Amino acid sequence: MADHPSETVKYSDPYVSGIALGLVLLAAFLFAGRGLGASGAFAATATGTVAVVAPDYAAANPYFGRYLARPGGPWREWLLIEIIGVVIGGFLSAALAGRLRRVVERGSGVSSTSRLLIAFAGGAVMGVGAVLARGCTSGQALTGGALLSVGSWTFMLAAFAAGYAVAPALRWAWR
Amino acid sequence: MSQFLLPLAIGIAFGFTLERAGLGNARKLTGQFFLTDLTVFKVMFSAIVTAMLGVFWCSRLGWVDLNALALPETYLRPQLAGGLIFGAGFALAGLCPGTSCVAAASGRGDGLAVVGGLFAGVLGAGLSFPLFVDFYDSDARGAWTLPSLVHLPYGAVVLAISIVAIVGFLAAEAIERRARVAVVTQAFTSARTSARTRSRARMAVVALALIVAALAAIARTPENAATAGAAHVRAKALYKPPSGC
Amino acid sequence: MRSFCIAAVLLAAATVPASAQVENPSSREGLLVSPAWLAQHLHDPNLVVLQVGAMGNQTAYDTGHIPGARAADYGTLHTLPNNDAELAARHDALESLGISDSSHVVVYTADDYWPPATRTLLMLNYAGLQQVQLLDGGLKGWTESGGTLSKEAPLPRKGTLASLKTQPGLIADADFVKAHRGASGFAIVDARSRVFYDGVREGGTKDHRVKGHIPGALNAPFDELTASGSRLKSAADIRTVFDKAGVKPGDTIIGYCHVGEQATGMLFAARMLGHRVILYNGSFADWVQHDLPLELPNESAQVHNSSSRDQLLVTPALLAQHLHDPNLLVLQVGTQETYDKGHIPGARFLDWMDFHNMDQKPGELTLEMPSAQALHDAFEKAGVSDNSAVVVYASDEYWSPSTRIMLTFDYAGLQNVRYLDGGLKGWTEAGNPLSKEAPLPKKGTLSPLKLRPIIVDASFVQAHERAAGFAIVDARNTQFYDGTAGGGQRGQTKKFGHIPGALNAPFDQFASDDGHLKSYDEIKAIFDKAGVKAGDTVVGYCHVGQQATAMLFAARTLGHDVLLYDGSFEDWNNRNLPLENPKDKK
Repeated sequence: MADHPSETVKYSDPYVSGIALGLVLLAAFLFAGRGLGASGAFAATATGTVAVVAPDYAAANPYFGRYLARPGGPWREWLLIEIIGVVIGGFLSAALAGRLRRVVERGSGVSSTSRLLIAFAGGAVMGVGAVLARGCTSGQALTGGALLSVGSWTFMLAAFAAGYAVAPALRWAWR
Repeated sequence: MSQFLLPLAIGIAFGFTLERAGLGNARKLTGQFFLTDLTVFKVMFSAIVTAMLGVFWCSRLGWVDLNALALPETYLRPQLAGGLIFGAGFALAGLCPGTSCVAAASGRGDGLAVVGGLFAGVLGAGLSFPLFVDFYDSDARGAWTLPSLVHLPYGAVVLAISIVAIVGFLAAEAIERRARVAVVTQAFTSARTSARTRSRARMAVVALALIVAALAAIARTPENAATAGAAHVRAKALYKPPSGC
Repeated sequence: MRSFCIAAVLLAAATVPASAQVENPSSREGLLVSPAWLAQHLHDPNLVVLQVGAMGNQTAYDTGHIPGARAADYGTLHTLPNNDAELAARHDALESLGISDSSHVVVYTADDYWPPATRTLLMLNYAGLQQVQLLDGGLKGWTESGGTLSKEAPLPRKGTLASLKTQPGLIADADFVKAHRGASGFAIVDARSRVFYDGVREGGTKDHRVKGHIPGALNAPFDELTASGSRLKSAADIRTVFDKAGVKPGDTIIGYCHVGEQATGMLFAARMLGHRVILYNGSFADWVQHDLPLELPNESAQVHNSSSRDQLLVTPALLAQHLHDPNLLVLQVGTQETYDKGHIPGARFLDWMDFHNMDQKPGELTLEMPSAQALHDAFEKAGVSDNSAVVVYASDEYWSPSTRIMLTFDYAGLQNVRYLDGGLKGWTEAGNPLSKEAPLPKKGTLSPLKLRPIIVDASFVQAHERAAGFAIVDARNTQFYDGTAGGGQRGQTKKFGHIPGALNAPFDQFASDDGHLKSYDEIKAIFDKAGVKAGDTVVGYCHVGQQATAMLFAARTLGHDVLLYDGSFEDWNNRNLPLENPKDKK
């Protein structure tokens, strides 16, 4: 089902794109010695921002201080550069498939404002969870999952458990 | 330069693939939790199994040193708690950190909102970090992996996960059929393929994955697999007193 | 709703690793219950749980106890009722604790000193109560298994007890012990620490201090029967302790200790193996008060003495069990590089340089001990607090820096420090994972240090050159000792020979090729061959004071008191003191 009238290429088969994604992850392991990630980019950005506003505080804060101490500093964080790539790649794919659209994805009975607020809230909650868990679906579930880390699998199962538990309360948002 | 180009290239491929799979669309993602569209599960687990098999075989062929890979370490309770919190946020947002960037890149306002929320959440967590730093650092288990947890060889666990994933895929197909949503997708390369060819292609991939995984299980596990927990630390010269002994 | 089912299944799966090491609830040989068993039976109507302790029990109880447990007054319960009046009082005391004829009593202590619980248990047995059990691991074992604590005392409840039928066969006096010395089928077992049994430290009463043990007694120290805290060792390990002591399977064990408390711990473990047990209630204090004869170790067939060793070493398996104890501090001694490559999860990097006086001008001694304040600050920086349980380990085979750190801890008066046998290699060989992530920096909180006088100078060494009870031991390799090669800092002083009267025990002999400390017997053989006598205080030295610490650590595991001549050969030569050179005699 085409989502958009301008769409020229439909979504890929999920298994095919999954395999492709797995190969990207494998390439990261082979060429960079590490896996993918996303929430780390946000941590680096937050660190960099705090460091600009209050450099002494940032250095003293145990969380931000660690990102500051990394070689190159927060603005050269591997994941930050990677996430810029994600943005570019996402844009390219959407552009080539005719899926570029200024829109707020939401249920028909929900206003844009509500959706935006809920999205923001969801992002904030995810941010907290990602800090505690030291990663998100990319860094923990995909990367740690492929490497069979117990903590990563625990994170993944817990995240999906919570998702399934919370989602029914949000049906109204997607009707 | 390669320090810059490599993550950029990987990120571009990452973002491109996510968008192609449709994961830049919050409506599609939340279908996972409403059991109407299990794309998230299929993509994630295909990716995990592919990469897992890839890492396993590359390490056997000597193309990658398992000990040199950055394995996410286990902090059991914080990760359990973090996972629960994250999952709740995920259900609210309909996008995860990676896909939110993809959504924002393709113009989705809610993607941008999630990005903003993530920034705020991470910032807030960092600012209040001293309050939960002890919990954050608790329950450290080091480089704990599934083979060590279940006391099975690396290859056997790889096989088991591959089987579980494939069973999961079959279940996912069944669930989606019952939800009566015709998920009309096409293979990436061709314009029109018949349903039968598609399902034959899928079965072929499944069979291949099973064969590879089965071979993984019966092949011998090397001594220095990072997952066996027998990693040896090679120490360079330790500080010796200047006594010249 | 299907979503919730899926959520529940996923959550259950996610919590599997957290419960990966839960013990099976069990009752070992009917005497011991596990925390898991107690958790399951906590609300049984007949269960009475008693928290006992020698001192401060009420305070500990008010701070937090097992839900539903009662604080039992040890003073009331631990004495032996000698006559009818005392027995009647005991009966009433038990009833007021809610104990009835059908009660199932479980006893535990709040801290790691568990003999009060076993003494209470034995006294209850003496009073005729059969269904009494010990909680394995005490309160710590309970909380470690995930048990929660309560601050609320249960409402008072009176039990119904028939009059007490005492079990006199459980108790013996001095005459009984004398009569059964050497009797077949009986073993008199001293449950005190080895230092008392061996006569290294005096026992007896306040006014009458003597060395030695009851003639014919064997030694099975009560603290060798627990694996950690107050958790009892496995039956096989307990069997080993008794075998080494010389107890034969089937022996009836007559146990004693200082006053009759620690012996009950040893006797409890013996009962778990199926031995019949009798408590010599008056114990050593009573024996000494009657002026009865004593025996010292070289008069008895004592085989092994490892309680010092047990207190100083920790195995990888034990450390793995305790890796998440809140007060545990694991320290890696080595370079930052090796630490970053992989360390025990949660371990902190100890900067060796902080513990040496590095402000040396040329001509000054190398590697001296820094001031008390500098040491205090260095320990705090490393994360050491007053209540820390420290484990030190070496990251590779070059282990003398880590023994130097062990000695530094001892010098600083910090006693709760153990050495990981086998170091990092031993850890990984046991199949344990490593971590590359450093824990967040956390300064410790340490009271001002009370230094122990274990660092000595050249004049002390001179004064004790051939003194009885002291052994000056040169820990350098034999080539330096016997004058073949020149010693001192960077070989600069090029002096040959050793301190007059010194013996030689090269430090590298004390670890085997696989990085583990050699066994007690092997170490004893090395020191015997060197000429060190049992009970000697070992004064160690080497080139600059580091390698000696490895030799001294080995001596500590044998139970020797140790002193370090920190200046060592370098200092001796700076002062131009005379040397003994075996080569000169040729």
